[in-house]
Amino acid sequence: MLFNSYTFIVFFFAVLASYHLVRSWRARKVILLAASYVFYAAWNPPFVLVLWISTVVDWLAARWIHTAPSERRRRLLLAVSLATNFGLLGYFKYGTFILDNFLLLVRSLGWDLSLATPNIILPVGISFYTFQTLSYTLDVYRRNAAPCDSFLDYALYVTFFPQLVAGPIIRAPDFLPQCRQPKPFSGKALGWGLGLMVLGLFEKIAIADGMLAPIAEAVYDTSAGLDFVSAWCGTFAFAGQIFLDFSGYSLCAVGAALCLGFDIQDNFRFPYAAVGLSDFWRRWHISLSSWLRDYLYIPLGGSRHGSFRTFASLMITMLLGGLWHGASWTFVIWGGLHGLYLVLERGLRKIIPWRSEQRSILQIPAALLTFLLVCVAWVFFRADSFGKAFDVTASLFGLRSRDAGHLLPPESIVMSLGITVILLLVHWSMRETTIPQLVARLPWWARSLALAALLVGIVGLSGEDRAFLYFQF
Amino acid sequence: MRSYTSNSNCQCPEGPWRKTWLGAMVLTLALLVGWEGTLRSLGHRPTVVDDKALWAAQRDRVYTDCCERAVVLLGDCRMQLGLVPSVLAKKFPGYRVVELAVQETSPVAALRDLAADENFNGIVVCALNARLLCKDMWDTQQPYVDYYHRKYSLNEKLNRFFSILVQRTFTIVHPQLRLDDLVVHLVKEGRLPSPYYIETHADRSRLADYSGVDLEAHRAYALGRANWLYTGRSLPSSVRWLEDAMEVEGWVKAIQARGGRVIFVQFPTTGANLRFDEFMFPKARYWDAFAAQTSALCLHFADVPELSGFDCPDTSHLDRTEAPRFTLELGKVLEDRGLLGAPQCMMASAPEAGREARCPCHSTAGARGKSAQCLHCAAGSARQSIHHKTALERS
Repeated sequence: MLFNSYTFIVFFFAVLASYHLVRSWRARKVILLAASYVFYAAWNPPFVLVLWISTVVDWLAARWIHTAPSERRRRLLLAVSLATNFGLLGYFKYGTFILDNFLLLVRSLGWDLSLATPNIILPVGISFYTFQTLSYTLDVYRRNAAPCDSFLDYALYVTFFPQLVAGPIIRAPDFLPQCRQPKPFSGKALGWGLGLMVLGLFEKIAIADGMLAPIAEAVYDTSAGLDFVSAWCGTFAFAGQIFLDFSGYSLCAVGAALCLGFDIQDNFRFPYAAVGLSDFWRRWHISLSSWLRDYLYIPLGGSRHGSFRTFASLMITMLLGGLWHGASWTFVIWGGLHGLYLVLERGLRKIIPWRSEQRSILQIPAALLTFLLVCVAWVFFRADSFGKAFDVTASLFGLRSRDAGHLLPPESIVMSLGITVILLLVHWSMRETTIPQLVARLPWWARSLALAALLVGIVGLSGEDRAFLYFQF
Repeated sequence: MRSYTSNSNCQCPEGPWRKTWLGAMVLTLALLVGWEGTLRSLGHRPTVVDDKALWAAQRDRVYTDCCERAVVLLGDCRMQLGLVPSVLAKKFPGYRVVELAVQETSPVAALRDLAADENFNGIVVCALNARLLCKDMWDTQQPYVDYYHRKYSLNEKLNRFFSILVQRTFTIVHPQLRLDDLVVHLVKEGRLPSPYYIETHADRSRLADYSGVDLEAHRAYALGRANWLYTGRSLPSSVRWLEDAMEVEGWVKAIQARGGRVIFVQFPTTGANLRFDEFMFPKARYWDAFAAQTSALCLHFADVPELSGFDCPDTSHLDRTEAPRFTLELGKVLEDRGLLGAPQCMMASAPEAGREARCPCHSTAGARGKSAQCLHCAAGSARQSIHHKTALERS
């Protein structure tokens, strides 16, 4: 069920009403859990089974790890959890990819092997909820947390519908304590939560889908030759689209959770105002980057074992982070580019010591350079093949041109550049603050005006219905 | 070790949220009502958005039951604008008319899908011309077919239901009347846009009103479209074309073997478009050759007096004033050929022996005394006797 659908509006208000009408805290959690399964099953009912497998295996594994008498048993149980989660992820997400690459490899060795390609459907949100259950088991294994004693609370943690299919990836220590005590109805939380949902839907429907997606599609989904201006405008449009799409989804998730009395962390802190790539990753998809940092980068050695090990850890983390986004080598290259940027940045910091929060005249050009580097990497994220990615990259650097003018019409060029400039200005001006802090300074009538403008924008600027981009991951 | 006992705190901005939301809702409603009123005062009317979900909703209706036989309309925009499902359904009660034509596409993928569907045994009326049978056009409706089979879920159905309710009620939700487009139009032309000449209904039928449009521009567009379809591409020779086209025959036979029927119709075109069609794909070498070999009934408007003489204002499509008349004429032609008319109990009329026993109206009517459940049997003893006679003969 998409947040930007009529069925979600009906579903959400039905859940909200029944949740707040029931007095028993346990019954309210049962309502939320049942609603979460309905939400997930609305897409493809049989895949609820996969969700259950992930839920039950990690619930049991964590409990048994906690009470295991020996280190060997603990490791074995952790291996079971890892094998189950990565097995599910590997089969559903990477099955076809692995098979295709295997066939490619054996054919390149001269063996004419042909196998039927399985028609595997990717269960929506599997990358998110497997990471969530894994983090719980890993926390218990590392003795950073005790296992939860309520299966209902734990199942709700895994399945909570506002963030089930596209994050933010929440950690058990952030969510489970909130299940302990009943949530009294709060008009403030409801008002703010609904406001965040409206803002998120505006970002997604009006700007990402209504304005930017057609421009990005015109550049990336065509076989026609590309020119320098169109390549940049199409890439800027995609940079804006993916931020507004994903950040819009996250705002909806945070807002929907707040309406139900739950507080989940936001996923973005105005990333296009980042100064440097490490600053970017502290602001972009925060729940994933912190997950990768805590459960991959640091266990690989982090920055504690010299430069070479640090660089290797960074590269491995970013390559796997890229692969997490999708079963394609273009995502791996995207991750590799970010890994390379981070390695170069670390190297540069040794020569020119600076901190991203340090105020300096060089901050603005550094932020612009960061944005441009991020855009170049987005090419590999958006292009559906290496051929297309190289075409766009060549056009970005002026290595390829088009005979007859610009591919994009003038109004698309103006729209792409205009929205990009506005987006950068908004991010820069909000760099050191948050949306709640900004809204807290506004009088009620200004908030009303802003909400009305967003609502009219949602109705008036909606285009073709599109799913959230991160659903495919 | 964290023990999951603390509660996080909401970072919600303080303020009178009830008053804020009340103000926002009043302002939003005022703006939307004003905007809707402005568009309506200019003649704009609500219209349904024709997309894959709407197509899938119709695709779901192609199954004949014991009381209604499905007539499935395939083709491109000439079918969508030229044949009015409601007119056909009214003229031939007992038939459920399903619109599956998609503008600017070839119906071959949809026909292939219906042929592969073992449960489909209805009547297919397919708008076709030689160009749409060229192999490079075959998969143009495949995304619709894929959407139906892979993505059309209960959730999608419900969402489409709500979408139709909203789109049939409000003008402002139509994507062609987006706020930014209106502003651009206002800035460029100094006025808001005139109503769009095509109206789409929830059953996917469309009606074009050419009375207020720039006909020369539309004719130029229709010709340009034909030009784009025909030129600059490697079109097959007539021999190769016929070889490819006869692949379609396999699907026609599959449908007809289950008791269905397939009728190919070339819709009227006029003026430069007709000349262009004839120049690129001469009727004698293409259409007539195909018609001679297929087991489907082929109706070319030029060969059927009832279907000729219609005016296409833009040389390619029928106007809303002509489409109902064309629908009735085509219906009459099909009735005369025994393809439409007195409805028959479809489960009974299936060719396999013993199929009649599976018709719930008949197999159980005597036992339960519910013969009134079958519309056809209840329609009258004369029709009932025809129906049973037909079923008996076939079995």
